[in-house]
Amino acid sequence: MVLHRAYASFDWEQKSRIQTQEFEEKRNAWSAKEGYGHTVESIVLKNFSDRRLILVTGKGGTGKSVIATALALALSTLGKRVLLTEIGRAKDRAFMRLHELVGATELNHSPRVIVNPIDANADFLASRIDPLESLLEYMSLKLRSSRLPSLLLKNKITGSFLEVIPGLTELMCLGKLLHLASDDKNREIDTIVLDAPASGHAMTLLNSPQNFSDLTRVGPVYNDTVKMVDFLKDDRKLGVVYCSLPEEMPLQESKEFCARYEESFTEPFVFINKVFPTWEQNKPLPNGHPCHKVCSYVDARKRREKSALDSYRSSFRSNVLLELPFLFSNTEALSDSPAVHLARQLRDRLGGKDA
Amino acid sequence: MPSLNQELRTRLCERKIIISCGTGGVGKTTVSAAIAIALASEGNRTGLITIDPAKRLATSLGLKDLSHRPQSINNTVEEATKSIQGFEWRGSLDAMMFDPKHTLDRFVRMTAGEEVLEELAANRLYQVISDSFSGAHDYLAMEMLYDLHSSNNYDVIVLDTPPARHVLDFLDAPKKIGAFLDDRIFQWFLVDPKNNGFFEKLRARSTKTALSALEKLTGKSVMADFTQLAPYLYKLKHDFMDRQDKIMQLLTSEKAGTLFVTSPGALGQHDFESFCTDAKHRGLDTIGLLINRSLQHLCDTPWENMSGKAAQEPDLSNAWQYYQAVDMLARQERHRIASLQIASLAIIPELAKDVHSIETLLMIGDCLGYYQE
Repeated sequence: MVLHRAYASFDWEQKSRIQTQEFEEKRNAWSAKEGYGHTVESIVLKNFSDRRLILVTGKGGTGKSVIATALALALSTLGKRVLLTEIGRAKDRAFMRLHELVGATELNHSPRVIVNPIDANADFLASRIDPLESLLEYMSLKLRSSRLPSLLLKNKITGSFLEVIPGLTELMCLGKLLHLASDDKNREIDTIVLDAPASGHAMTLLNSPQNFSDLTRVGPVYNDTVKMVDFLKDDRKLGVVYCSLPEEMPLQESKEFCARYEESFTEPFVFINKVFPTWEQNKPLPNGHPCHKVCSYVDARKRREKSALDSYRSSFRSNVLLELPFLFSNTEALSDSPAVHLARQLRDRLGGKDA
Repeated sequence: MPSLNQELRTRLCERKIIISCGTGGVGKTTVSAAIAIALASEGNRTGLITIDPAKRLATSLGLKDLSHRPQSINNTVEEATKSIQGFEWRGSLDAMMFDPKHTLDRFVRMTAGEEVLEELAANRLYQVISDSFSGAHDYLAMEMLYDLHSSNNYDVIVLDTPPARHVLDFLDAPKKIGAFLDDRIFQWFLVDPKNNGFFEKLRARSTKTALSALEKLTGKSVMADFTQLAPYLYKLKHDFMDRQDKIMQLLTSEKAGTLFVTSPGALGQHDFESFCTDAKHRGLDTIGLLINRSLQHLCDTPWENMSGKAAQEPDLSNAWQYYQAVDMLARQERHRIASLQIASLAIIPELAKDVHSIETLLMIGDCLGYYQE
């Protein structure tokens, strides 16, 4: 499996055997029939273009990284200056996928320029927010010293204390992000798209400012956490995308996440990813036809999806629900092809039509 | 030469503890339940520790509430298999779920008692720790496993691990908690209340500077909370470290093994080899790989050889389009599996029926080679 390849070296048009346009037509026909106009979709997506931070989370395996990348591609194609980022330590690189998706060998704390495969003129930035670097940066800023922070980390006692304060690394990383996102004076980035950790950890991340403000109550950290909480509660600044699948467990988890999230913040957008396409059968298959097994598999899968979606649909407000199609890619394709397909679709809906 | 499938089954038989690992969304919980049922049917007294099962799976198993207490599901299985000819239920199966909420509270109550818990509950730092210290959840699953194993009531225990980005993360939980309870931290915070505070105790100037810098950042109250919390945590420490050693000994012994559960789609993202290396690095043995929800069986002939026929049937174009699409996924899957170097592997086809019924759990066992005598 060769995954490391630069965007530029790939022929994007040849990626899928099922032509995107054909796919879209079929899906749109289905959408209209099921009562999901893409007015809903364009409203949802239009909302994103003015957010300063879009946090993409969800259960593992739902396509968070692909959707985050697709959003970054789509927004940068529309002329936004975008930073696509994830949180992680350098030593965990083996478990991260974002660099593969953008065709880089690695992502670091300082951003690098990524060529946008949809539009070569629409570069965007990608980085990996490093917890330790963020902590050092923050402490240098607050203690107005470059010597003290490294002393704090090197010292056995304070070093282990910093390591184990629950939620401190999350707070520092989020602080770094919000610092980047709210710098209006030297604005270099319009939108940050964060490929965030999975649901539970994302909640810890989002709650870390409130936790620390409860914990500290005075002092420099307290003052900053109060600002952070304000930012997070402002739905003009933060958009949260929760990725789910049209299956019982992921939908149940989405419902629980939304309920918990709405306790403290505004409402998240739920993207139901990998919805299998419905291509109506023109006529019944003759007996013994080679497509039988495939078609009964698809039928069963569609039935399961439908019953899962039907029972959970009322749990979500329709204006925050977006269904995304299952994207087929062939064996030779890079793992990132779904991101580009999604990005094209998102871009088309975001741009032009509503102007 | 035994098939990859037989090899996996043999290896499963040899273990007392089977830890099923994998990322979320691959059906790990379902597969764990299916394996537990298969092992029980062969005569083992089996324990299943499951984490947050789908409602319908819990219902199928006859599990009513989230409970740490083992619940026997013999009756449920026997009821569901009554009509199946030749099916024999020779062992027993207890299942338990574990509630990941307030796990730290439970640990404190278990080791230090209710009064200590009440005192701690008022401490703000403790509240934050118990809310957000996710490692504690993973740790408790291992506590349960150890308890069950030491009870000698079970021949084999199947543990379903929490989904994690790093699939073996749950093993780090004791280390994380251990680091938190490190002596080096505590010696500075365990102060006599009559004393004026910990700053006086500091001998090293650099530590004094570092601590006062830390206090400047966080404010005095965090330090005060920690000083209050320290003696309690210190008391817990010895129990904790002792248990942790025993648990790790058990997990790294030949009695235990990990099973990597994945789906064709997830296999592309998390490769099996790095899982094995990671497991080995932590002293764990890998039993094998189980690929759930395989689509390979759906397309007998490659699309290339079918496209001619498809072209002659324009009125069935949509069916053929599905064929083409599913064949593409199946091919991707075969390609991924072919690149694996592996001695024990089982492939479970995507099942059309409700994935949460006992019948499906039996079918999964059947795919693994059970129930076939």
